[in-house]
Amino acid sequence: MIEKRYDSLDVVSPHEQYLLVLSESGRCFGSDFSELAREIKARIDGDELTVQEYFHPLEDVSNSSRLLQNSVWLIHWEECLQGEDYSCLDSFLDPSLFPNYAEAIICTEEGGYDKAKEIEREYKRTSVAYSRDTLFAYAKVHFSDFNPTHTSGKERVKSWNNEICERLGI
Amino acid sequence: MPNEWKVLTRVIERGSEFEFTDETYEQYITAVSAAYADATASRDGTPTADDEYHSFLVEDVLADGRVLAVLEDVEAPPSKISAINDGTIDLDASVDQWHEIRFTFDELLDLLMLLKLVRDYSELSSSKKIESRFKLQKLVYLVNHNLVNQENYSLANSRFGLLSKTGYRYRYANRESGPYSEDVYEDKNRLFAWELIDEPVVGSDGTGEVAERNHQYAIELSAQGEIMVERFYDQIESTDSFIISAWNQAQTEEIQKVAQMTHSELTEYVNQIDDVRTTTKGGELLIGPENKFQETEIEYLEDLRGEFENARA
Repeated sequence: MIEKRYDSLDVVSPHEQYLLVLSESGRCFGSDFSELAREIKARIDGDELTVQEYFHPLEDVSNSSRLLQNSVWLIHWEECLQGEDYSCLDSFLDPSLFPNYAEAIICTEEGGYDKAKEIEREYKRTSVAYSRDTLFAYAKVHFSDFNPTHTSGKERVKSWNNEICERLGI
Repeated sequence: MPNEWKVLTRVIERGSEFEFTDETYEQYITAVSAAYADATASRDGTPTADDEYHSFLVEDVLADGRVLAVLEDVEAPPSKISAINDGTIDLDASVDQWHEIRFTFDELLDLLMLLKLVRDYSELSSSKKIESRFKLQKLVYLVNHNLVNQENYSLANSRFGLLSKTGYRYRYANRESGPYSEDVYEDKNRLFAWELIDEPVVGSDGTGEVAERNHQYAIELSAQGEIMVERFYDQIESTDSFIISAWNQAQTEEIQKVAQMTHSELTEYVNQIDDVRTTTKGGELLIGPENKFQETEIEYLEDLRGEFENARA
Protein backbone atom coordinates (compact mmCIF):
# COMPACT_ATOMS: atom_id res chain seq x y z
CA MET A 1 0.00 0.00 0.00
CA ILE A 2 1.00 3.62 -0.26
CA GLU A 3 3.56 4.48 2.35
CA LYS A 4 5.35 7.62 1.32
CA ARG A 5 5.44 10.55 -1.05
CA TYR A 6 7.59 10.49 -4.13
CA ASP A 7 9.97 13.41 -3.90
CA SER A 8 11.45 13.00 -7.37
CA LEU A 9 10.90 11.07 -10.56
CA ASP A 10 13.95 8.95 -9.82
CA VAL A 11 12.20 7.08 -7.02
CA VAL A 12 8.96 6.42 -8.91
CA SER A 13 10.07 3.27 -10.71
CA PRO A 14 9.62 0.45 -10.22
CA HIS A 15 6.11 1.06 -8.95
CA GLU A 16 3.70 -1.42 -7.41
CA GLN A 17 0.04 -0.84 -7.99
CA TYR A 18 -3.26 -2.42 -7.02
CA LEU A 19 -6.26 -3.06 -9.19
CA LEU A 20 -9.35 -2.68 -7.04
CA VAL A 21 -12.28 -5.02 -7.65
CA LEU A 22 -15.71 -4.25 -6.20
CA SER A 23 -18.04 -7.15 -6.85
CA GLU A 24 -20.29 -9.52 -4.91
CA SER A 25 -19.77 -12.58 -7.07
CA GLY A 26 -16.14 -12.04 -8.06
CA ARG A 27 -17.13 -12.75 -11.66
CA CYS A 28 -17.89 -10.70 -14.75
CA PHE A 29 -18.24 -11.32 -18.49
CA GLY A 30 -18.22 -15.06 -17.88
CA SER A 31 -14.87 -15.09 -16.05
CA ASP A 32 -13.48 -14.61 -12.58
CA PHE A 33 -12.21 -11.09 -12.06
CA SER A 34 -8.81 -12.60 -11.26
CA GLU A 35 -8.68 -14.03 -14.78
CA LEU A 36 -9.69 -10.67 -16.23
CA ALA A 37 -6.96 -9.06 -14.14
CA ARG A 38 -4.40 -11.49 -15.56
CA GLU A 39 -5.41 -10.49 -19.07
CA ILE A 40 -5.16 -6.81 -18.18
CA LYS A 41 -1.69 -7.29 -16.71
CA ALA A 42 -0.55 -9.18 -19.80
CA ARG A 43 -1.28 -6.07 -21.87
CA ILE A 44 0.91 -3.71 -19.81
CA ASP A 45 4.05 -2.47 -21.55
CA GLY A 46 7.47 -2.51 -19.88
CA ASP A 47 8.58 -3.98 -16.58
CA GLU A 48 8.57 -0.92 -14.35
CA LEU A 49 5.00 -1.42 -13.18
CA THR A 50 3.68 -4.41 -11.27
CA VAL A 51 -0.03 -4.73 -10.71
CA GLN A 52 -1.84 -6.89 -8.21
CA GLU A 53 -5.61 -7.29 -8.03
CA TYR A 54 -7.28 -6.50 -4.75
CA PHE A 55 -10.81 -7.63 -3.86
CA HIS A 56 -12.20 -5.19 -1.34
CA PRO A 57 -15.05 -6.48 0.86
CA LEU A 58 -18.29 -4.68 0.06
CA GLU A 59 -19.31 -4.56 3.71
CA ASP A 60 -16.38 -2.18 4.18
CA VAL A 61 -17.02 -0.17 1.03
CA SER A 62 -17.27 3.13 2.90
CA ASN A 63 -13.58 2.81 3.81
CA SER A 64 -12.48 5.50 1.38
CA SER A 65 -8.94 5.57 2.73
CA ARG A 66 -8.42 2.01 1.55
CA LEU A 67 -10.19 2.43 -1.77
CA LEU A 68 -8.23 5.54 -2.65
CA GLN A 69 -4.97 3.61 -2.73
CA ASN A 70 -5.82 1.90 -6.03
CA SER A 71 -5.30 3.61 -9.36
CA VAL A 72 -7.84 1.44 -11.17
CA TRP A 73 -11.25 0.59 -9.81
CA LEU A 74 -13.26 -2.17 -11.47
CA ILE A 75 -16.86 -1.93 -10.29
CA HIS A 76 -19.57 -4.40 -11.18
CA TRP A 77 -22.55 -2.26 -12.18
CA GLU A 78 -25.37 -4.72 -11.49
CA GLU A 79 -23.90 -5.85 -8.16
CA CYS A 80 -22.68 -2.56 -6.73
CA LEU A 81 -24.22 0.51 -8.34
CA GLN A 82 -27.48 -0.31 -10.07
CA GLY A 83 -29.45 -0.94 -6.88
CA GLU A 84 -27.86 1.99 -5.06
CA ASP A 85 -26.99 -0.35 -2.18
CA TYR A 86 -23.66 1.36 -1.65
CA SER A 87 -24.52 5.03 -1.90
CA CYS A 88 -21.10 6.16 -0.70
CA LEU A 89 -19.70 5.00 -4.06
CA ASP A 90 -21.59 7.83 -5.73
CA SER A 91 -19.59 10.29 -3.65
CA PHE A 92 -16.31 8.52 -4.28
CA LEU A 93 -16.92 8.58 -8.03
CA ASP A 94 -17.86 12.25 -8.11
CA PRO A 95 -15.72 13.68 -10.93
CA SER A 96 -14.43 16.53 -8.83
CA LEU A 97 -13.37 14.21 -6.01
CA PHE A 98 -12.11 11.14 -7.82
CA PRO A 99 -8.30 11.27 -7.79
CA ASN A 100 -6.56 12.68 -10.83
CA TYR A 101 -5.01 10.00 -13.04
CA ALA A 102 -7.01 7.23 -11.39
CA GLU A 103 -9.44 5.29 -13.55
CA ALA A 104 -12.86 3.92 -12.64
CA ILE A 105 -14.13 1.25 -15.01
CA ILE A 106 -17.72 0.23 -14.45
CA CYS A 107 -18.53 -3.20 -15.87
CA THR A 108 -22.08 -3.88 -17.01
CA GLU A 109 -23.18 -7.29 -18.24
CA GLU A 110 -26.61 -6.27 -19.53
CA GLY A 111 -27.51 -3.74 -22.18
CA GLY A 112 -24.33 -3.45 -24.23
CA TYR A 113 -23.13 -0.20 -25.76
CA ASP A 114 -26.38 1.72 -25.24
CA LYS A 115 -26.43 0.86 -21.56
CA ALA A 116 -22.77 1.85 -21.25
CA LYS A 117 -23.52 5.30 -22.69
CA GLU A 118 -26.45 5.70 -20.32
CA ILE A 119 -24.26 4.87 -17.31
CA GLU A 120 -21.51 7.21 -18.51
CA ARG A 121 -23.99 10.07 -18.55
CA GLU A 122 -24.71 9.41 -14.87
CA TYR A 123 -21.15 8.67 -13.80
CA LYS A 124 -19.18 11.22 -15.74
CA ARG A 125 -15.52 10.51 -16.39
CA THR A 126 -15.83 6.82 -15.69
CA SER A 127 -15.37 4.29 -18.46
CA VAL A 128 -18.14 1.76 -18.85
CA ALA A 129 -17.15 -1.63 -20.23
CA TYR A 130 -19.83 -3.96 -21.53
CA SER A 131 -17.57 -6.80 -22.69
CA ARG A 132 -14.16 -8.30 -22.04
CA ASP A 133 -12.61 -6.48 -24.97
CA THR A 134 -13.94 -3.06 -24.01
CA LEU A 135 -12.64 -3.64 -20.48
CA PHE A 136 -9.20 -4.62 -21.77
CA ALA A 137 -9.12 -1.60 -24.08
CA TYR A 138 -9.87 0.90 -21.30
CA ALA A 139 -7.34 -0.72 -18.97
CA LYS A 140 -4.72 -0.76 -21.72
CA VAL A 141 -4.99 2.99 -22.29
CA HIS A 142 -4.87 3.66 -18.55
CA PHE A 143 -1.71 1.62 -18.07
CA SER A 144 -0.12 3.24 -21.12
CA ASP A 145 -0.38 6.60 -19.37
CA PHE A 146 0.00 5.43 -15.79
CA ASN A 147 3.25 3.60 -16.28
CA PRO A 148 6.70 4.62 -15.04
CA THR A 149 8.33 3.06 -18.09
CA HIS A 150 7.96 6.53 -19.68
CA THR A 151 8.87 9.94 -18.31
CA SER A 152 5.33 11.32 -18.61
CA GLY A 153 4.06 8.14 -16.95
CA LYS A 154 6.45 8.70 -14.05
CA GLU A 155 5.05 12.19 -13.64
CA ARG A 156 1.51 10.84 -13.56
CA VAL A 157 2.35 8.12 -11.05
CA LYS A 158 4.17 10.65 -8.86
CA SER A 159 1.30 13.13 -9.04
CA TRP A 160 -1.28 10.46 -8.22
CA ASN A 161 0.77 8.96 -5.39
CA ASN A 162 1.35 12.34 -3.77
CA GLU A 163 -2.29 13.36 -4.13
CA ILE A 164 -3.34 10.20 -2.31
CA CYS A 165 -0.69 10.82 0.38
CA GLU A 166 -2.10 14.32 0.86
CA ARG A 167 -5.62 12.98 1.24
CA LEU A 168 -4.50 10.29 3.67
CA GLY A 169 -2.46 12.69 5.73
CA ILE A 170 0.83 10.94 4.93
CA MET B 1 -6.67 17.26 -17.81
CA PRO B 2 -6.28 13.68 -16.59
CA ASN B 3 -7.94 10.91 -18.61
CA GLU B 4 -8.93 13.30 -21.36
CA TRP B 5 -8.33 10.61 -23.95
CA LYS B 6 -11.92 9.58 -23.31
CA VAL B 7 -13.07 12.34 -25.64
CA LEU B 8 -12.18 9.81 -28.35
CA THR B 9 -15.02 7.58 -27.21
CA ARG B 10 -17.66 10.05 -28.40
CA VAL B 11 -15.97 12.18 -31.05
CA ILE B 12 -17.05 9.97 -33.95
CA GLU B 13 -20.75 10.03 -33.08
CA ARG B 14 -20.85 13.65 -32.04
CA GLY B 15 -22.70 15.86 -34.50
CA SER B 16 -23.68 13.01 -36.81
CA GLU B 17 -26.43 10.43 -37.04
CA PHE B 18 -23.92 7.63 -36.99
CA GLU B 19 -24.09 5.31 -33.99
CA PHE B 20 -21.84 2.42 -33.10
CA THR B 21 -23.30 -0.98 -32.34
CA ASP B 22 -22.06 -3.25 -29.55
CA GLU B 23 -19.73 -4.97 -31.97
CA THR B 24 -18.47 -1.96 -33.93
CA TYR B 25 -17.69 0.12 -30.85
CA GLU B 26 -15.72 -2.81 -29.44
CA GLN B 27 -13.67 -2.91 -32.65
CA TYR B 28 -13.15 0.85 -32.57
CA ILE B 29 -12.07 1.15 -28.94
CA THR B 30 -9.79 -1.89 -29.24
CA ALA B 31 -8.04 -0.24 -32.22
CA VAL B 32 -7.85 3.07 -30.34
CA SER B 33 -6.26 1.41 -27.30
CA ALA B 34 -3.68 -0.39 -29.45
CA ALA B 35 -2.79 2.80 -31.33
CA TYR B 36 -2.63 4.78 -28.09
CA ALA B 37 -0.33 2.25 -26.41
CA ASP B 38 1.98 1.95 -29.41
CA ALA B 39 2.22 5.71 -29.88
CA THR B 40 2.94 6.16 -26.19
CA ALA B 41 5.74 3.62 -26.34
CA SER B 42 7.31 5.07 -29.49
CA ARG B 43 7.23 8.63 -28.14
CA ASP B 44 8.42 7.69 -24.63
CA GLY B 45 5.11 8.82 -23.16
CA THR B 46 2.27 11.15 -24.00
CA PRO B 47 2.53 14.96 -24.10
CA THR B 48 1.49 16.73 -20.92
CA ALA B 49 0.59 20.11 -22.42
CA ASP B 50 -3.09 20.29 -23.44
CA ASP B 51 -2.65 21.43 -27.05
CA GLU B 52 0.13 18.93 -27.72
CA TYR B 53 -1.93 16.18 -26.17
CA HIS B 54 -4.90 16.99 -28.39
CA SER B 55 -2.63 16.84 -31.44
CA PHE B 56 -1.34 13.50 -30.20
CA LEU B 57 -4.88 12.14 -29.95
CA VAL B 58 -5.68 13.19 -33.51
CA GLU B 59 -2.40 12.55 -35.30
CA ASP B 60 -1.06 9.53 -33.45
CA VAL B 61 -4.22 7.76 -32.36
CA LEU B 62 -7.23 8.60 -34.55
CA ALA B 63 -5.10 8.78 -37.68
CA ASP B 64 -3.48 5.41 -36.96
CA GLY B 65 -4.10 2.99 -39.81
CA ARG B 66 -5.82 0.45 -37.58
CA VAL B 67 -8.31 3.01 -36.28
CA LEU B 68 -9.04 4.40 -39.75
CA ALA B 69 -9.50 0.88 -41.10
CA VAL B 70 -12.13 0.15 -38.44
CA LEU B 71 -13.91 3.44 -39.09
CA GLU B 72 -14.09 2.72 -42.81
CA ASP B 73 -15.18 -0.85 -42.16
CA VAL B 74 -18.03 0.20 -39.87
CA GLU B 75 -19.07 2.92 -42.33
CA ALA B 76 -18.39 5.88 -40.08
CA PRO B 77 -19.30 9.22 -41.68
CA PRO B 78 -16.84 10.03 -44.50
CA SER B 79 -16.69 13.62 -43.25
CA LYS B 80 -15.28 12.38 -39.93
CA ILE B 81 -12.69 10.21 -41.64
CA SER B 82 -11.54 13.02 -43.91
CA ALA B 83 -11.45 15.40 -40.92
CA ILE B 84 -9.16 12.94 -39.15
CA ASN B 85 -6.96 12.64 -42.21
CA ASP B 86 -6.53 16.38 -42.61
CA GLY B 87 -6.25 17.02 -38.86
CA THR B 88 -9.36 19.19 -38.57
CA ILE B 89 -11.60 16.90 -36.56
CA ASP B 90 -13.25 18.90 -33.80
CA LEU B 91 -12.04 17.54 -30.50
CA ASP B 92 -12.80 20.81 -28.72
CA ALA B 93 -16.55 20.28 -28.53
CA SER B 94 -16.00 16.85 -27.03
CA VAL B 95 -13.46 18.30 -24.63
CA ASP B 96 -15.95 20.96 -23.54
CA GLN B 97 -18.53 18.28 -22.90
CA TRP B 98 -15.94 16.29 -20.97
CA HIS B 99 -15.24 19.28 -18.75
CA GLU B 100 -18.90 19.84 -17.97
CA ILE B 101 -19.80 18.78 -14.48
CA ARG B 102 -23.19 19.65 -13.19
CA PHE B 103 -23.19 20.38 -9.49
CA THR B 104 -25.94 18.94 -7.36
CA PHE B 105 -27.97 21.43 -5.43
CA ASP B 106 -26.79 20.07 -2.08
CA GLU B 107 -23.17 20.44 -3.15
CA LEU B 108 -23.77 24.03 -4.15
CA LEU B 109 -25.26 24.90 -0.80
CA ASP B 110 -22.41 23.27 1.09
CA LEU B 111 -19.90 25.29 -0.90
CA LEU B 112 -21.83 28.51 -0.48
CA MET B 113 -22.26 28.00 3.25
CA LEU B 114 -18.55 27.23 3.57
CA LEU B 115 -17.73 30.52 1.88
CA LYS B 116 -20.16 32.32 4.16
CA LEU B 117 -18.55 30.64 7.15
CA VAL B 118 -15.15 31.97 6.10
CA ARG B 119 -16.54 35.47 5.69
CA ASP B 120 -18.57 35.59 8.92
CA TYR B 121 -15.74 34.14 10.96
CA SER B 122 -13.21 36.54 9.44
CA GLU B 123 -15.36 39.51 10.39
CA LEU B 124 -15.50 38.48 14.03
CA SER B 125 -11.94 37.27 14.41
CA SER B 126 -9.13 39.68 15.25
CA SER B 127 -6.93 37.89 12.70
CA LYS B 128 -9.52 38.55 9.95
CA LYS B 129 -9.21 35.01 8.70
CA ILE B 130 -9.75 31.43 9.87
CA GLU B 131 -6.42 30.82 11.50
CA SER B 132 -5.86 27.20 10.50
CA ARG B 133 -7.21 24.17 8.66
CA PHE B 134 -7.61 22.71 12.14
CA LYS B 135 -10.03 25.48 13.06
CA LEU B 136 -12.00 25.13 9.84
CA GLN B 137 -12.46 21.42 10.45
CA LYS B 138 -13.64 21.97 14.02
CA LEU B 139 -15.91 24.88 13.11
CA VAL B 140 -17.82 22.89 10.51
CA TYR B 141 -18.08 20.00 12.93
CA LEU B 142 -19.48 22.30 15.61
CA VAL B 143 -22.13 23.63 13.21
CA ASN B 144 -23.40 20.12 12.52
CA HIS B 145 -23.07 19.17 16.17
CA ASN B 146 -25.19 22.19 17.05
CA LEU B 147 -27.90 20.93 14.69
CA VAL B 148 -27.77 17.44 16.19
CA ASN B 149 -28.72 18.96 19.50
CA GLN B 150 -31.76 20.76 18.13
CA GLU B 151 -35.15 19.15 18.25
CA ASN B 152 -36.42 17.75 14.98
CA TYR B 153 -40.13 17.89 15.57
CA SER B 154 -41.17 15.97 12.52
CA LEU B 155 -38.98 12.91 13.09
CA ALA B 156 -39.52 11.44 16.51
CA ASN B 157 -36.51 9.93 18.25
CA SER B 158 -34.05 10.89 15.56
CA ARG B 159 -30.62 10.75 17.12
CA PHE B 160 -29.36 13.27 14.61
CA GLY B 161 -31.84 15.98 15.63
CA LEU B 162 -32.17 18.76 13.11
CA LEU B 163 -29.08 17.48 11.29
CA SER B 164 -31.41 14.90 9.74
CA LYS B 165 -32.86 17.77 7.72
CA THR B 166 -30.20 20.39 7.28
CA GLY B 167 -26.52 21.19 7.70
CA TYR B 168 -23.38 20.15 5.86
CA ARG B 169 -23.51 16.73 4.19
CA TYR B 170 -20.04 15.93 5.48
CA ARG B 171 -19.06 12.75 7.25
CA TYR B 172 -16.81 13.17 10.30
CA ALA B 173 -14.44 10.69 11.87
CA ASN B 174 -12.61 11.03 15.17
CA ARG B 175 -8.89 11.36 14.45
CA GLU B 176 -5.94 12.01 16.74
CA SER B 177 -6.50 15.68 15.95
CA GLY B 178 -10.18 15.39 16.89
CA PRO B 179 -13.17 15.61 14.53
CA TYR B 180 -11.96 15.49 10.95
CA SER B 181 -13.82 15.20 7.67
CA GLU B 182 -12.17 14.32 4.40
CA ASP B 183 -15.22 15.84 2.68
CA VAL B 184 -14.48 19.22 4.25
CA TYR B 185 -10.89 18.91 3.13
CA GLU B 186 -12.00 18.13 -0.41
CA ASP B 187 -14.46 20.99 -0.63
CA LYS B 188 -11.90 23.38 0.82
CA ASN B 189 -9.51 22.23 -1.90
CA ARG B 190 -12.15 22.80 -4.56
CA LEU B 191 -12.73 26.36 -3.36
CA PHE B 192 -8.98 26.94 -3.38
CA ALA B 193 -8.60 25.46 -6.87
CA TRP B 194 -11.34 27.79 -8.13
CA GLU B 195 -9.55 30.74 -6.50
CA LEU B 196 -12.46 31.55 -4.21
CA ILE B 197 -10.32 31.22 -1.08
CA ASP B 198 -6.65 31.71 -0.30
CA GLU B 199 -4.57 29.64 2.06
CA PRO B 200 -1.54 31.66 3.17
CA VAL B 201 1.07 29.92 5.30
CA VAL B 202 0.91 31.65 8.69
CA GLY B 203 3.17 29.48 10.82
CA SER B 204 6.13 27.19 10.46
CA ASP B 205 4.75 24.76 13.03
CA GLY B 206 1.88 22.46 12.18
CA THR B 207 -1.32 22.15 14.18
CA GLY B 208 -1.43 18.37 14.23
CA GLU B 209 -4.34 18.42 11.81
CA VAL B 210 -4.32 16.14 8.79
CA ALA B 211 -2.45 17.93 5.97
CA GLU B 212 -1.27 20.57 8.41
CA ARG B 213 1.53 18.77 10.18
CA ASN B 214 4.46 20.85 8.96
CA HIS B 215 2.98 24.29 8.36
CA GLN B 216 -0.07 26.19 9.51
CA TYR B 217 -2.41 27.43 6.77
CA ALA B 218 -4.96 30.18 7.31
CA ILE B 219 -8.10 30.38 5.19
CA GLU B 220 -9.52 33.62 3.85
CA LEU B 221 -11.78 34.68 1.01
CA SER B 222 -10.13 35.78 -2.21
CA ALA B 223 -11.45 38.88 -3.95
CA GLN B 224 -13.49 36.59 -6.19
CA GLY B 225 -14.81 34.71 -3.17
CA GLU B 226 -15.89 37.99 -1.57
CA ILE B 227 -17.90 38.82 -4.67
CA MET B 228 -19.50 35.38 -4.67
CA VAL B 229 -20.58 35.59 -1.03
CA GLU B 230 -21.78 39.17 -1.38
CA ARG B 231 -24.08 38.18 -4.18
CA PHE B 232 -25.99 35.62 -2.09
CA TYR B 233 -25.40 36.86 1.44
CA ASP B 234 -28.68 38.70 1.96
CA GLN B 235 -30.66 35.90 0.40
CA ILE B 236 -29.34 33.48 3.00
CA GLU B 237 -29.80 35.91 5.87
CA SER B 238 -33.38 36.77 4.97
CA THR B 239 -34.48 33.40 3.61
CA ASP B 240 -37.99 32.07 4.17
CA SER B 241 -36.65 28.52 4.14
CA PHE B 242 -36.62 27.11 7.67
CA ILE B 243 -33.89 24.62 6.92
CA ILE B 244 -31.52 27.22 5.55
CA SER B 245 -32.24 29.69 8.33
CA ALA B 246 -31.73 26.96 10.96
CA TRP B 247 -28.43 26.00 9.36
CA ASN B 248 -27.32 29.62 9.13
CA GLN B 249 -28.36 30.28 12.72
CA ALA B 250 -26.39 27.28 14.01
CA GLN B 251 -23.38 28.44 12.02
CA THR B 252 -23.61 31.97 13.37
CA GLU B 253 -23.85 30.70 16.95
CA GLU B 254 -20.78 28.50 16.63
CA ILE B 255 -18.73 31.22 14.95
CA GLN B 256 -19.53 33.57 17.82
CA LYS B 257 -18.41 30.97 20.36
CA VAL B 258 -15.19 30.07 18.60
CA ALA B 259 -13.96 33.28 16.96
CA GLN B 260 -11.93 34.45 19.95
CA MET B 261 -10.68 31.03 21.06
CA THR B 262 -7.01 30.13 20.86
CA HIS B 263 -5.95 26.80 19.37
CA SER B 264 -5.67 25.17 22.79
CA GLU B 265 -8.99 26.60 23.98
CA LEU B 266 -10.72 25.27 20.89
CA THR B 267 -9.06 21.88 21.32
CA GLU B 268 -10.26 21.71 24.89
CA TYR B 269 -13.74 22.92 23.94
CA VAL B 270 -14.14 20.25 21.26
CA ASN B 271 -12.59 17.44 23.27
CA GLN B 272 -15.09 17.84 26.08
CA ILE B 273 -18.02 17.06 23.75
CA ASP B 274 -19.45 13.70 24.78
CA ASP B 275 -19.36 12.14 21.31
CA VAL B 276 -15.73 13.18 20.82
CA ARG B 277 -14.76 11.78 24.21
CA THR B 278 -16.53 8.46 23.73
CA THR B 279 -15.88 7.72 20.05
CA THR B 280 -12.78 5.63 19.46
CA LYS B 281 -10.00 7.09 17.33
CA GLY B 282 -10.76 6.27 13.74
CA GLY B 283 -14.44 5.78 14.54
CA GLU B 284 -17.30 7.55 12.81
CA LEU B 285 -18.43 10.64 14.66
CA LEU B 286 -21.13 12.35 12.67
CA ILE B 287 -22.92 11.91 9.34
CA GLY B 288 -24.53 14.86 7.61
CA PRO B 289 -27.85 14.61 5.76
CA GLU B 290 -27.51 12.94 2.37
CA ASN B 291 -30.24 14.94 0.70
CA LYS B 292 -31.51 18.16 2.08
CA PHE B 293 -33.53 20.22 -0.30
CA GLN B 294 -35.92 20.22 -3.17
CA GLU B 295 -34.59 22.30 -6.03
CA THR B 296 -37.78 24.35 -6.06
CA GLU B 297 -37.08 25.54 -2.55
CA ILE B 298 -34.40 28.02 -3.51
CA GLU B 299 -35.20 30.54 -6.18
CA TYR B 300 -31.58 31.52 -6.85
CA LEU B 301 -30.46 27.97 -7.66
CA GLU B 302 -29.53 28.56 -11.29
CA ASP B 303 -27.68 31.79 -10.44
CA LEU B 304 -25.72 29.90 -7.81
CA ARG B 305 -24.93 27.06 -10.17
CA GLY B 306 -23.80 29.52 -12.81
CA GLU B 307 -21.50 31.33 -10.41
CA PHE B 308 -19.74 28.15 -9.33
CA GLU B 309 -19.47 26.86 -12.87
CA ASN B 310 -17.89 30.15 -13.91
CA ALA B 311 -15.51 29.98 -10.97
CA ARG B 312 -14.47 26.49 -11.90
CA ALA B 313 -13.94 27.23 -15.58
